[in-house]
Amino acid sequence: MQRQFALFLTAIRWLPVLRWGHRFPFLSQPQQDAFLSWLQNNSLTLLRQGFWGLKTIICMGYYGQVELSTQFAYHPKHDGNAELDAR
Amino acid sequence: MRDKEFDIVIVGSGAGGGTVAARLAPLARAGLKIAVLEWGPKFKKSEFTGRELEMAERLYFDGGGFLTKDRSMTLAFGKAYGGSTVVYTGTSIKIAKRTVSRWAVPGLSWDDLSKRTDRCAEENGVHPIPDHHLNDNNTLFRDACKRLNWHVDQFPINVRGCLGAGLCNLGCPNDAKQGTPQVQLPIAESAGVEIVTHCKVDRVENKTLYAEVRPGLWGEPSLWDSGLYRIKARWVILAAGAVNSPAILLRSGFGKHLSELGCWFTTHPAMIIAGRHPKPITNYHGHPKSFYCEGFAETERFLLETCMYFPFTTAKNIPGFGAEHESMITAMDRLQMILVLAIDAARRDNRVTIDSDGNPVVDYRLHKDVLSSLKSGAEHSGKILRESGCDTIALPEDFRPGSISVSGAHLMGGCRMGAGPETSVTDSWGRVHGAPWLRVADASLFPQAAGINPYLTIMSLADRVAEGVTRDVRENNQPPERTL
Repeated sequence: MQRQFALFLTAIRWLPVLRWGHRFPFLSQPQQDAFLSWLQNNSLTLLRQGFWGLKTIICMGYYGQVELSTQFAYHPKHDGNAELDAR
Repeated sequence: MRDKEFDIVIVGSGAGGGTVAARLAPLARAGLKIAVLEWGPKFKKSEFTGRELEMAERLYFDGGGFLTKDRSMTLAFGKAYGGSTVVYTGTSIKIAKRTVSRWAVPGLSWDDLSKRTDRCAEENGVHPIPDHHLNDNNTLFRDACKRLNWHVDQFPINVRGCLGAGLCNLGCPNDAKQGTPQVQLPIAESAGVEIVTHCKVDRVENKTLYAEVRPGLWGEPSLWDSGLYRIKARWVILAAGAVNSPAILLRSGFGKHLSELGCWFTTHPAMIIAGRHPKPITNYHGHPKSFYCEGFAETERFLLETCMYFPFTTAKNIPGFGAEHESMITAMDRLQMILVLAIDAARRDNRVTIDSDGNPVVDYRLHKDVLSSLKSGAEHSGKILRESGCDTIALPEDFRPGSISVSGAHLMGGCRMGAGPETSVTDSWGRVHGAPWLRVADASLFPQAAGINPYLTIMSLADRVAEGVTRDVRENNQPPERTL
């Protein structure tokens, strides 16, 4: 699985060269968005699944950080009903 | 290899195994040696931290991200003292009469299941949450459904002393959920049933189980020392869930005689649809799942349920990427969420198999009808969210596998009940065809999807299995010196 992801990341880096003549990090923001949309909605299931897998890992790495939950406006409490009672 | 001997061994301690263990407590009191072998640990209360990734890693197989063979869906199933009852939301619904009729299992009637379900519900303290503890995420769904003239019902849930932490899927930090660790397993333990955690069963052959106890990173230590075990038992009950029960039987060679073993797997493939309100609502405080709409179950084969997930799970499920995606997740206190569950048809080719190392592989394809149900369910959810006042709704545009985040948490089938070995794995009492000493007591028995949250149906079937085992014991006059 790790090898497949490494391969997919390499593909993301280099595939844009075919269309824009530059590797992914050197594309403008709209070009990067267009490329990622192309991957997300690709007719090849493998590319769509690769994109989904990569997105999942990135989301896990960022949104999984408890320390950042304030930035997500997420503050669960063990006594959540007390918050509801205070409405 | 160490040797052990029991009268009855139960594999798994979730809704199925826990119920069987409790119902067999009178046999344990009468002197029979009974053990429950559980792969997961018995967590200490302090270990339920509510931290999403930490708890997912501790409580679920593959951290909740067990992938199907074609990688189009993840499956969530628990690994703990209490099995998946540790991670469900406790929604307690009786299976519909029409579903049991459709199952058409000779010897199994809805009336029989219904009585058992009532008993289990009473035992687990099932009741609806009072109005003042319903949060906005739930009431907005209810009110929108009513305005749309869609039938909406409140979920009864099995909690006692719920403080509304909203962390049910990460294990209740308040011990409020009345899963098997709170209700059935203590009954069994007090009667002398041994519950052995950290114990993975590999296979069962000729009334002998082969298992391994390994120390874990979490939970209380196992009753048994680490090592390999050969455990003899007069009766064996598999309740390891719809992935692991078929896998144990396949590793044990039962596939040679039971062609349907592992087949007909269903899972209610589900996706989350979220909408954002212009202002904060109450959503992550309070019980997360209070209402459902089953008005489209028969026509379009989907259910809608309220839900509230955690930041990573939410982020993974919301379609798209970049600033628009981020603007949703960074407003968790404004999100309203709906879970769309497709009621998937049972298909023979959706099945549990094992790889060359004996590990379970779920070969499941998201068929066209399931994707169509998810699409329709998402569109209906969009209507509810709009009606509720959301200003942004994250609806997927593309419903092909890989484009949407689909997850199954109601794993069913693989050891389906039925008339004989040509079409099923067990009879209506969970007895494996050709092996009267071996029974199954979990959701793998379901011949087709339940169409509702399944735990009470699992318990009801397990109750039948326990009755069958008790009958077997009596008929065999075991133990001869005691009256049961």
